[in-house]
Amino acid sequence: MRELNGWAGKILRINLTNNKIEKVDTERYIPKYIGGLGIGLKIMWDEVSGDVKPLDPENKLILMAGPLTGTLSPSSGRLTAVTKSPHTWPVEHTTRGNMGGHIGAEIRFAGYDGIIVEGKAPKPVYVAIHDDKVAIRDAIHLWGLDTYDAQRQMIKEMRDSRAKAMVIGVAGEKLVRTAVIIHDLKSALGQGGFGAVMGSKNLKGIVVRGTGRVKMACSPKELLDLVEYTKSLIAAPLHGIIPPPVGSAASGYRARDNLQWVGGPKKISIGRVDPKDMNRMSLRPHEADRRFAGKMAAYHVKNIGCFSCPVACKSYMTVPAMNRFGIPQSGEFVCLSATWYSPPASTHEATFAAKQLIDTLGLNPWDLVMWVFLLRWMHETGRITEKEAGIPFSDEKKGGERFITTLCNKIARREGLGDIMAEGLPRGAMKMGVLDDVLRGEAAGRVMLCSHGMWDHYDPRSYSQVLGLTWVMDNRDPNRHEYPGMVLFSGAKIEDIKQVAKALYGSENAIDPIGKITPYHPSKGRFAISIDHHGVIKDSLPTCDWVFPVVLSPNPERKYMGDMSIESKLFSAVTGVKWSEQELDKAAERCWNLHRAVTIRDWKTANLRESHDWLPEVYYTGLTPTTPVSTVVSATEGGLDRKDFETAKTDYYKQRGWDEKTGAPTRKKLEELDLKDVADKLAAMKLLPA
Amino acid sequence: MESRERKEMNRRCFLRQSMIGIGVVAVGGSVVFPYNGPSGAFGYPAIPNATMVVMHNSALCIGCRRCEVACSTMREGASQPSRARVFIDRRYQESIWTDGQFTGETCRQCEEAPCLRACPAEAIKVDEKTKARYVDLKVCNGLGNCQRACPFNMVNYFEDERKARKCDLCGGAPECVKQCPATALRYVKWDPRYDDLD
Ligand code: SF4
Ligand code: SF4
Ligand code: SF4
Repeated sequence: MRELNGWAGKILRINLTNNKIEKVDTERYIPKYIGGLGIGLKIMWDEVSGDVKPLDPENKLILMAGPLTGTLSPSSGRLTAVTKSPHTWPVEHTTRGNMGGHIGAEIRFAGYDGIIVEGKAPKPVYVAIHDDKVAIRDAIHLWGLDTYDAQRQMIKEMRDSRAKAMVIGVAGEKLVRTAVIIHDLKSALGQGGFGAVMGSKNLKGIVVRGTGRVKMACSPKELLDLVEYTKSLIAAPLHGIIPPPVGSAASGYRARDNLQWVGGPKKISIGRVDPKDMNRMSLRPHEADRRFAGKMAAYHVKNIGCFSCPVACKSYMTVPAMNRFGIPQSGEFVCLSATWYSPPASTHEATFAAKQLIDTLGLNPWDLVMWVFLLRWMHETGRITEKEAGIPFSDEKKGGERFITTLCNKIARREGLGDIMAEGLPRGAMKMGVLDDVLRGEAAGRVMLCSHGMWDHYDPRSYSQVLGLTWVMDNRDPNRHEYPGMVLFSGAKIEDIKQVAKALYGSENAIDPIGKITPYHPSKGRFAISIDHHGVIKDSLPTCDWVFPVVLSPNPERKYMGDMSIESKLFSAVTGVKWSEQELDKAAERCWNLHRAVTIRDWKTANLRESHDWLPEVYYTGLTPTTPVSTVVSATEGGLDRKDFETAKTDYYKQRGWDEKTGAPTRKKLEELDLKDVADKLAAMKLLPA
Repeated sequence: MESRERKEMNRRCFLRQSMIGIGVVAVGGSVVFPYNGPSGAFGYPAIPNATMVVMHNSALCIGCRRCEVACSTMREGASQPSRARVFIDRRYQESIWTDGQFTGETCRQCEEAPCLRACPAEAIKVDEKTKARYVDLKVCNGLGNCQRACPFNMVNYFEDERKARKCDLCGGAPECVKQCPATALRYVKWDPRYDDLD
């Protein structure tokens, strides 16, 4: 295997059943499948059949970095995972996850583009990787440890404090369907149940130390110039780029003179950050400040970033009161993990405790947030009593610390009612006989259950058919932030946004203000397709969703236009594969078609239109205004129009060159994308439209 | 705490230097390594003080390690934190679980640079412009004395090449400082009270 530019050149294959360790040549997959998600899907397609169940030893946990991981490319230190998911519902199909932190880069410095974990160890083990030395080690002493202790112990056993680890908590060990894999304080392979898959293999975690390098094709200067240009356009997290007073108050970027970090040993005055100052870009006030204006902000020690990220979305917090509950006092906060438990009467300690509990137990807040609402509703409507549930509902009035500690532990350890909740919300609700109420939106005032059994993170009723389409076409919560980034977090004026949308997607109609849905227009389909493709690119290069693609810029002279070609430029510079924006887009389209093919195989039907591409009932009705995260959703007059959304689906398939009746890729399309083998295989399974 | 520890390091550094000087004299006064001794004393030529230095601020640092990536990319031609001359990762574990006050390690461009004094080949020289202490790779013969001599472990010795690297302030335009998105690294006037600053 020769040394490549960008790619490390080999993928580590670890079989836990027979302890065989192999190195797969990355060149088999590149540049055709890019890296990250693209290669992960290809391995899934080639090696795991549609009949394999997520927790079977035959399922594989594919952890893939990309050609940019570990380089100077901004926000590139990420890792993508692909597996058969125990979390998705109603079908346990192939899904993807992506996380930040430092471990993706460490894997690359160790000389690998990724790791394929297969089989099942007879007893708990962990994998230790030190450059080309790979060992499968006993993990009996780690089993049962929380994610922080387990990582520290594994790093200690590496005898190199620069090692990085990723582990499961008790939740993963107990095969909680929604369990996550945790790295460092809070980086997580979340939605999808990756922790349960790891647990099913008796694998506690992976620890990596890499001392090697990631080479690039271009000169350092060339990369640097490109990086500087990119930095001048990229926004604060979530594309929150335009400071007030120009930007609206909703802007993620709340520049102000009196900004301070007060939670650390010394109070630090940050003040107003000039958007043009590249040496202070990570000090911009954003997530932490936006979510925790008020009491929690008192604990904000600093912004903290993933490997090679100049944006730093996370808030590092220290809450000494945690010692009272026996919970680690320092943690990182971002987005929902920060606020998933924050009922009106709760203390901020309870909110932070809830956050630390999910990270140390390895639970998924996106599922838990629904459980809290559902349980409360069941309790209020007399469907369940405190005694039956074994959960102290009354404690919520006193702050909720006991309530949330009990709930989290019950689920993670599958105790009592927790055993049902550990099945994830849709399956658990079904067992409790309330799934219909959930799907109709009658439970808990607001349903929050969208496609694939996941919490409706950006409601299609607020973000139009565009997000409706990305929701149904994906295999999980799509978690792509272009749309909300533009209309919610950027702070840009809708007129300016519409001009950008016109330039990118062909019409101003592509984007609606939040909750003001206009009838479907083909530019909305184009927008959705662009989101899908840039999503593949994000998870394959990788770049970070909270920053890329660069749809908008904070730059009035550019009329706030970003630059959608940046990813292809970075890719070409680093790998030496000279791809234009269109060529990279084509590769992304190939991967997305492969994603669809994998889905068809998992669902055992080519007619995804009627089955997979489905939104629950409630999305065709109006939105109730009670909502836990007020910035994510805003009330809208009515829901989506059923007929209109079907038109949207038909047009999306048409624009993709897919069969309009079933939503399946046609032979013609697959062959055009150099996926003839995929078409043949689908045809042999009778899953190719005529 | 932090700064006390550093002061202690400085003291040790000073003691070590004096010892080297005395050691050389004890061998009989013959000056084998003209730089192996404190400036001015025993007739050794003085090293001019550095004019600038890169300093790290623990409170602002976001732990992104762009500095390590920039240093290795720009100076070694490939991203490789293990070959940087600025270190965040070495002491990352100490703080990430407790207080988030990352200890970034940069070269102090010491007054009595022990690295320089320790090199019998005189491969460590003083840059004309910045007065940074740098390794002349053409002269470096891979002894590794400099690495052992640096009280702060700031010399990065490449086993495969058998050559040492240390921070040379990038000729006056530090790449690490340019890439730091938090002003946690700053290019400032050199000051012997390095550890008391900030
Ligand atoms: S390498 Fe070490 S001894 Fe030499 S100047 Fe830098 S800190 Fe001082
Ligand atoms: S100044 Fe230059 S050589 Fe020194 S640590 Fe920074 S990037 Fe590396
Ligand atoms: S680039 Fe700056 S903020 Fe990032 S790790 Fe280095 S010193 Fe810290």
